[in-house]
Amino acid sequence: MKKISQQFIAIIISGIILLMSCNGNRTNEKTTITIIGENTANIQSLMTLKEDYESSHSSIDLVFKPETFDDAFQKTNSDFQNKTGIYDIVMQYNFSLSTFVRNDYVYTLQDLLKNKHNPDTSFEKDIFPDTWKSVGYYYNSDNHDSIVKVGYPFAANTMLLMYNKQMFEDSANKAAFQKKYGTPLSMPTTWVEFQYLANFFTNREKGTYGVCLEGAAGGFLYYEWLNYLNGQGGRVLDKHYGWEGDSNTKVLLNSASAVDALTYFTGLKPFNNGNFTDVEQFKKLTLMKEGKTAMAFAWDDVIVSSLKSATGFDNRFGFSPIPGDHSFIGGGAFFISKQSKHPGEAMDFILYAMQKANQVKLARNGLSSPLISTYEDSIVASYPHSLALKHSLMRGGIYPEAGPDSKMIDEVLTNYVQKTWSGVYKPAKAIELATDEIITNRKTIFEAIKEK
Amino acid sequence: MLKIPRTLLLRWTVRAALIVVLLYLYPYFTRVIHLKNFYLNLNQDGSFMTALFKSLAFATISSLAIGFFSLSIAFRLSAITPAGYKGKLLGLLMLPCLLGNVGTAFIWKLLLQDYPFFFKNPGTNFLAMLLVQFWQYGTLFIYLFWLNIHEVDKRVLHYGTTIRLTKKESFRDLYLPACRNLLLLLLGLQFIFSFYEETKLQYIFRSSRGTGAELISQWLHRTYNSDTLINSKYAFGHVTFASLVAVISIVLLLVVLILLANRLYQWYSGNRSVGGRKKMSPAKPVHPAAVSAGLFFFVLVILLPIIYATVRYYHYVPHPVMPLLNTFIHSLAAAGCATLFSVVFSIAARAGWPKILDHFNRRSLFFLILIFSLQLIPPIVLLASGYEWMKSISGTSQFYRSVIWVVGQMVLSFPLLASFSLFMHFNIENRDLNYLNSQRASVFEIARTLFWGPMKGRYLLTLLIAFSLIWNEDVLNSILSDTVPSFISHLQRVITGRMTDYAAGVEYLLVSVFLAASAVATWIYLTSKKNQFDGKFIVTGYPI
Repeated sequence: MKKISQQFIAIIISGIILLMSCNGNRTNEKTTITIIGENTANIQSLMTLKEDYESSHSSIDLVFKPETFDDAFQKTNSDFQNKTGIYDIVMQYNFSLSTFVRNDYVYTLQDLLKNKHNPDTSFEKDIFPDTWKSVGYYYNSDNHDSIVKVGYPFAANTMLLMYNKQMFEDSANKAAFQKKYGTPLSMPTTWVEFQYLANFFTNREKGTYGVCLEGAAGGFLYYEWLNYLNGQGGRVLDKHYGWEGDSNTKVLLNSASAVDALTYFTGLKPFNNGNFTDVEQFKKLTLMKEGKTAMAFAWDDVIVSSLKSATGFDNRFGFSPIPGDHSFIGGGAFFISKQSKHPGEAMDFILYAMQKANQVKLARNGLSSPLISTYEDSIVASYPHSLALKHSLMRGGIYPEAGPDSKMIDEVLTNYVQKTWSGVYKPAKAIELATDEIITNRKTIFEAIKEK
Repeated sequence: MLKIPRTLLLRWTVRAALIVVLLYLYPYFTRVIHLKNFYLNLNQDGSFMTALFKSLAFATISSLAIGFFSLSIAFRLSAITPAGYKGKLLGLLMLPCLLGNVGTAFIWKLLLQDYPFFFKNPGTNFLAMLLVQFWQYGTLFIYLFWLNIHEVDKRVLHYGTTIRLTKKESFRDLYLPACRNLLLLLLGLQFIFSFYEETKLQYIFRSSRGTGAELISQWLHRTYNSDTLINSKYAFGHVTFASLVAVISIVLLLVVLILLANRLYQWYSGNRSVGGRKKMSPAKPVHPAAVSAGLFFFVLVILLPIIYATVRYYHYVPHPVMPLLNTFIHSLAAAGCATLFSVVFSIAARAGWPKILDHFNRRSLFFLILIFSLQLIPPIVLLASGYEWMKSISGTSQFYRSVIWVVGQMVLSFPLLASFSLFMHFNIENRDLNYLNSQRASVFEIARTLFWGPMKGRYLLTLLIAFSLIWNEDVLNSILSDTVPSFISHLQRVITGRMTDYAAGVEYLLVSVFLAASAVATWIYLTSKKNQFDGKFIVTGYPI
């Protein structure tokens, strides 16, 4: 028994020593700035600045925490709610603006810059105006009549029309299209052309399809369908930018335009490649890369990671703005936590990252830069999607919901679009039910906010 | 000095352990007290009740189908003895379960995504899920039943052969009684796993309210995320109420299911017309070729999906791989602590309540539900509770947070490990306990003689399962991934989201497969070395 007790105690002590040895250096003279964000090309490209920044700022240690979308969202909110101050810089999307500002979790740019001596903010006039206003502005928490700048955008995102060049440049296709429609085969600039092309390229016997649509829940279908909704002149709420609005904002969804948009969208079903309900951006690009689909709407920030390799870009695909006059404006901003012990140092890094020279470096590594002049760099301009990206960001016009009701609206629209796709509802009925649900749920949400 | 009666000491040890475990849910319990108005909004759009009913239905069908099917397969494989190479090969049946939910989801995503049939409608989604659940859990169940079947006293089997029992009579009268407790345990476990299924459905099928395949865990998760935009406290409050309804539903139906299964068992084993003696011929031995074919079929069923995923999607691309040693050491430490905690708990429980916990009955069922209470809580509530606890550990040292991580893993793995141990200890006879008590043996001597001695092999199996649970656990690992790098978080990062890379995902999967295969190999090696799984201690003191 004595031997077993001794063995047991020895195991416990060894375990403690092993655990302690796993915990690395405990003394660290440097100031650690912790940055959390969704694991995308945005944070991955930002991580390429670490070495240069730390060598020029020897007292700073940058620690990046790329997480899944869910983890980044939950950890950030938990950190803010519990005031644990784990993260200094949070890279989050515009739907978090309302929560962060309303609950006084983050500094505004004014708070941060007033303590800086001559900060170099010359890049501000170079930011795509629509992007900044969409992802980095919010109501002054004290006064809803005025707006404050909360954060600089870490990226400018949009959706582009991605097309299969071989299918469009094929001479047999060109001749057949000319014969059928009486016009040359070219990129669609209107939604009518888009529909004709989707039909034209679909040939089930040959296994070719006109389009690949994202129909998965979790934001994918919602953002995809918003392009179609706005393309037909429809809107969800009566406001301009996504974060605007309050409990009195009118719901405009129940309109002929929205019904047309849903009818149009579900009308593409015969031309669609993939299972629809499990297609998200990665799956969509995988299907496009099979070379059998003519067109799809692709997020700009997955293009580089999906199509660029050591030998260069996959040159089978071209890019243009989506049909119509407007493009989706998405993205997120840098937020600095009010619990951060080093807000000044955190702001220094953000200002460094936003300088034009660094934005060019980041763009070459996959970032969709929020600075206009970045796209004049010769290497960035040579990327197949750069011109289309710049054009789309300049024109803007489609803003996803970004208020406290944004996820609810996403889920409701996803539910009814999916059900219409599978034939459960007709488009008019689906739009009516979705509108009723949004109105009811918005009441609940804004009452809960008032109570808090 | 006041001498505390041994039974009292043991019982209070058990109660203290339960209190420690339930302490994790303290943030949840405080929310429950302050619920108001959430009931008005609970089923506004009808989606909550729809998800709840679908979860209950899927869990019921899944548990009954997989439980009984696994038992029947194990019986058909009973001709395979533990000692031979076929018996060792059967250990591979543990492999899928040791890969965890995320690993399993990834394998089956790659396998099913090219077959539109499974994405047609919710019916085909759930049919595919039944297959996936069988692959992940049913194979382990087959193995556990098979082990149990070989526990049946050889003298009893010889008697059965002598009196020329038919196959069905052998199953009903000899093997089924030995498997009854395990069957009820596994039915309950499978019910809970299926009720709270989310990861695989979400990842493979992108299930949603719109596709009609949303289960309750997913409903809670998306509601929590949506309400977080109001604030996290509101979000926690809302899911607290909803989860309370879910927990009450699952407890009620679980109790009904287990009692029904028990009644079914009693009917079947008492029904002399079942397996009737129309033909007076005894059970014919199973042809060895048939047994081999069955064995190799199952080995293929386990290995083919993994091989397919690797061959189809893997290609070497140099990229940084997370440092695994840190995670491995933490997981091993936590597995050791969790196994010890659960085993000590279940020994104390068995010895402290000998008349209640000597076999499965209504009173031991209540005890088990109490142990399972943490397992009955939805994962999103465990996650939210964990984030609440972060308040208390922020600002502490890295080592302290490592210890908290280990303790947290002990708590979260406790329900499964403790219930598994408790069921194992049903094999301990009360007469042996009474004998040692009458000889005034100390608690330590009782533990060593009755528990440790005969059950070393099973405790090893518990340790392996504990390691797999902790390595693949995705709640605490996610919350404290800044403290202990989480393998599962890294795997999720490369198989979902905007930086998806299937080749990298397969690399991480192969690490999981390697660890699982190592655990299985260790188990096979150690058990074949002893050439027996468990001995039995009887009153005369001579092992069988």
